[in-house]
Amino acid sequence: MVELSDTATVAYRNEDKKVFDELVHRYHKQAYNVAYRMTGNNADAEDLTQDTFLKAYRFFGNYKRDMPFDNWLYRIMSNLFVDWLRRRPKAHIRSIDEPIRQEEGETTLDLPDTADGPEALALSSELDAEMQIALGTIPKDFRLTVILSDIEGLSYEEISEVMGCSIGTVRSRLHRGRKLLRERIKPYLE
Amino acid sequence: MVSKYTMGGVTMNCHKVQNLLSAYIDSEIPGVEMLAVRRHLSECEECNATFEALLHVKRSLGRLAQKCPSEWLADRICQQINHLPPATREPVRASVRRHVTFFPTRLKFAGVCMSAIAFLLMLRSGGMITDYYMDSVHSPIQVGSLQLHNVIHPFSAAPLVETEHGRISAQASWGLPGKFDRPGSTLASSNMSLASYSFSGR
Repeated sequence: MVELSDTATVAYRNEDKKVFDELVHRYHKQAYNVAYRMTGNNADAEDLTQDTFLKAYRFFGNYKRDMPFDNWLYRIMSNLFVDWLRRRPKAHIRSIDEPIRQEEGETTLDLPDTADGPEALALSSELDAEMQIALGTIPKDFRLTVILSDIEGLSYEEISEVMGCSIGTVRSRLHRGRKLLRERIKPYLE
Repeated sequence: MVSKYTMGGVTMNCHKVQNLLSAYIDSEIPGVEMLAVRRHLSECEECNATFEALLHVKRSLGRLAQKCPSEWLADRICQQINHLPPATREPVRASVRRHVTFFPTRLKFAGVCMSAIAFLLMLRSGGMITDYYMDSVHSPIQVGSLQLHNVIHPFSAAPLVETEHGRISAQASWGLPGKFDRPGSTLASSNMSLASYSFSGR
């Protein structure tokens, strides 16, 4: 939870900007990681991260300190992601030979040697890429729930606050999301 | 496949266990259910295999490498914020925010409802609502043996009607000719909207 003094929360513009700059530097990597897992590529992830912080700054006066700042940020990002999905083309069919954009440049998916044991595959970048592709194929609500739970480590209660749904809905989405991912990456685990 | 049994009052079958597996992995179910699921998994190979697969998915996701943004992303965001024009900043005064956030949502909702009811009662007692509908109805109107002086809340499903006998409650039936419930009453009116009411006197 962000510790802000009472003075810092008063709407003095310069003070707000200073505090917010500090929050940006503290949380931008974490936010980017979630954005990347949601969008699947660097450029969109950076745009989504930037838009999230800009919107967060705009409504910083409404931020309630009883909610962790990163969770509040995820809520904003979740809503912006819905808009982002609406703007992008509907059909996004990924060829297995299609280059995957990564930070270090483009690479093609190099299918792992299935003779390797599951332990080795779990640590390989190939599985990382395959898992990312699998994440991109499941419904956005399942995807975000899985990301917040299994990558960011939020509790069901925190996820329900971020996504504005009941804990039962979180449980259902997480279970169905994991089952879908399991089916997608099953060939690489057997 | 283990069919079904009960432990600690919790009945478990494969279908129920399968739906609980993710919550079991995350320790997000009550202790009694945790024990029941664990017992079931120790005896059901199929459910145990599903459990292992889901656990593997969770662990794989947790091992994904942290993706790092460009070095200049944070600075770029801060620059964008600095260039935001003043109009886009929407501060909330701290005193107002403290007041608003002090009360739970339920109390706020109750307060709004009570204020609205009090306002409507005030209007009603001041005759404002009656006056409004008085202007919209030609009065008195002869309907059967009743002279209607005023219809209060004509768009309500249970409007009040002022007659020479006092106020009576009316039951609206839209588009259908109504009939009086009073013995010997007949319906005759040139006002189509009133013809759709049926009266049950009180």
